[in-house]
Amino acid sequence: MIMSIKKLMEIDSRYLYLVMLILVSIPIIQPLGLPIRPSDYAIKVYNFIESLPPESVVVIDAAQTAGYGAELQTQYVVILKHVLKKDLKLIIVSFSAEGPMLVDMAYEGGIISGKPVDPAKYGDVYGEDYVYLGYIPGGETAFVSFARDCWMTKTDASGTPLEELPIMQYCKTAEDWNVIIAFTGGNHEQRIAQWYNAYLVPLIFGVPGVSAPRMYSYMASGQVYSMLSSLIGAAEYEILTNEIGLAAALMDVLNLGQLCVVAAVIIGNLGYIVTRIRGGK
Amino acid sequence: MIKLASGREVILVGTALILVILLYMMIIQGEKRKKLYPIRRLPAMDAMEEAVGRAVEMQRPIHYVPGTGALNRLEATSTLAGLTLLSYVAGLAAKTGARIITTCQVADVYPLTIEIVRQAFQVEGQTDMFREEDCLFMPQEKSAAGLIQRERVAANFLIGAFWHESLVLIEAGARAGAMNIGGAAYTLGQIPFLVSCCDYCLVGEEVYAASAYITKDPSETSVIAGQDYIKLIGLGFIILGTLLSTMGLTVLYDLFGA
Amino acid sequence: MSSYEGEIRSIAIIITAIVGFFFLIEYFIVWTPVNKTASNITAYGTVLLGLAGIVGIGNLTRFHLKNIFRQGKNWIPSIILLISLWLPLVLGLLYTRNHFIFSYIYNSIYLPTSQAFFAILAFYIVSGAYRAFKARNLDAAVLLIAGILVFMSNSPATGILWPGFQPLGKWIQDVFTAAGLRGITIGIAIGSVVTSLRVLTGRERRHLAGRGVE
Repeated sequence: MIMSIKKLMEIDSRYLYLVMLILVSIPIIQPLGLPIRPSDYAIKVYNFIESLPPESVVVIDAAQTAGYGAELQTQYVVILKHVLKKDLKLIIVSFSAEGPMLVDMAYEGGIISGKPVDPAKYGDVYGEDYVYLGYIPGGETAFVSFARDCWMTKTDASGTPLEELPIMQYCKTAEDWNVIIAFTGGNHEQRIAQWYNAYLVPLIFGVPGVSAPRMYSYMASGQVYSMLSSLIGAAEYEILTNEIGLAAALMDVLNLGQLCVVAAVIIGNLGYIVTRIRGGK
Repeated sequence: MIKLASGREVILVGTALILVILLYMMIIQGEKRKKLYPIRRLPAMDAMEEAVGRAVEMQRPIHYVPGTGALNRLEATSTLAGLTLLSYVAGLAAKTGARIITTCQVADVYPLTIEIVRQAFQVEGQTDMFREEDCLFMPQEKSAAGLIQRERVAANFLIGAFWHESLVLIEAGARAGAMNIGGAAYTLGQIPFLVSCCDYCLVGEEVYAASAYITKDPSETSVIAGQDYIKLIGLGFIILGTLLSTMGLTVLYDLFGA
Repeated sequence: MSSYEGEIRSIAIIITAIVGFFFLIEYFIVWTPVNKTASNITAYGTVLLGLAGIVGIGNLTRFHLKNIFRQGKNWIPSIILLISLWLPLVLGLLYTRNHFIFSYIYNSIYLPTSQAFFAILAFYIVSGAYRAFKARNLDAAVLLIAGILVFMSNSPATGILWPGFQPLGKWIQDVFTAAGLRGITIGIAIGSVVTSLRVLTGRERRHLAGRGVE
């Protein structure tokens, strides 16, 4: 028995990868429909956006990158749909170089975006209800500059002068923002410092799972209003807005993957404990 | 006309800065008096020599990543700490004859890694052993996983600011049979991965203390002591604030709160 | 180390100190000439850092070109690397993201490979968890149990097993995780400020490939 436990403890990692591969493939072939319960954080974000008065200015910082795409892009798409549905003024800007590609992907559809988002379906007109200002380089300097002057790009992403876009009359500086929603895997503190601390604008983050723990202290202090964390946050938000999309579809995969990790930990420890009890190393 | 910036954040930052400067002056006094403050044992630092020795015995290279952070963002100090330890590890490698491969993802850090490793070999009088082709620029740091496994490194150092690539590199090192030594300060999200999966790990400001630990220099240990004094003052504020808030007095919160 | 290098290093330290303390003072002053100068210097810095990218690209190109001409180890992947590096760069500079080849490279090559690299993490977490997450002592056991509970809370399907997983996991994260990370964050922030001051005052020189500390 000791020999078989020892063999189990020293099992080639590739067998573990195979088990994980099989488990995550099952829901792709046959969806399981496991339940998804929205968390308090997602509910808070939803209620906040629902409570915004008509013609409120919502600024979205689409700073997703390809690496965090599956998490942040799905969050971006579901929030985009929610904001477009309501009578709000949406200003989209990117502070990451890959942002423009992923903003385009949301409208065109793609592997990490799901189905295309069509603003016309919600009665929104480009330039009146929503606008995309493109990529602004510079990191924290860009955050400061954009907050001081939202017209700093002079044109939108396709080169149209901002004077010709009626929506921009609603947004001159950060004082005009009702909320800013940032989808980003890093530089959270800079955004908190330059947007919330400087202008007291409610700040909502869409973060990948690994960045979520550092948000708890900022939420506790009130500097961050709330957050969507990882694919789970996007799926919860899809349930709340009744816009079931890619995130909810992938939740079964996530569930089984997480259970596989828990099982690996438990089995690994059981083997370790049995070996220790029987006097092995 | 010149005006002083106002606002609660400015008060908070100003207070913190004054405290830090006062303590910094205290540190300088300590340096002048050559007082050596004791630093508790950091197993990861002791393991570095062991790791380099292991690489020499097994005749396999060392791999070092000074993080994937830039020098113009908040993680700059973490990256600097990673570079400081690179200097130490490269010196050990030069002294013992180990081959050291460094991979760097960030363009502005890359020239520094080359110079630091070159300098370390020069100091040990082993200039001919320095190989610039072993200092690689890897725009996607996780690509180093392939390098780690191909070269079958014996020691894998990941010290600096990391994001999601840290686990890829650690597992690649584990599969290659390497001893993994990690250290992360700024990027808190990776600390759990480094702590759980590395053989040894420097957590948070242990990365900053590492340099003082190696050199046991009064000037460096004074810095660490000064940081600890600032933390004690911060702790005092936390306890005072908690007690005052419990009693319904929000004076500290009104002064410093966001 | 020649004295020539020493003088260059001294100049670097002086520039660092002047610019660093200027920015420190600028934070506390509201005066247009000073604030504008700070903005301009930051913009220059951003441009300089962009130029630093050229150093990296240049070095990569030089290294792999040498490999190709010498037909060294893995010289064919070196060709693929150089094409992958320069083709999107040139297309992006000339046509921005609107060029169909650039879009194709991003959407059909870069994005799926980035996602694949990210997806590898899932497998590595399993092998890492199996290999390393062991209850070797009390600290490790506490870490393990808390980790499992948080994992279970993050997996909504575990609500079927016991509805208490989610609130329990949230409590652990809101109380223990937040408190622990807050402490680490404060320590890191203090360490960062002190390290920055040491760099500004020239007492820390290792980043200049110097001999360390004065």
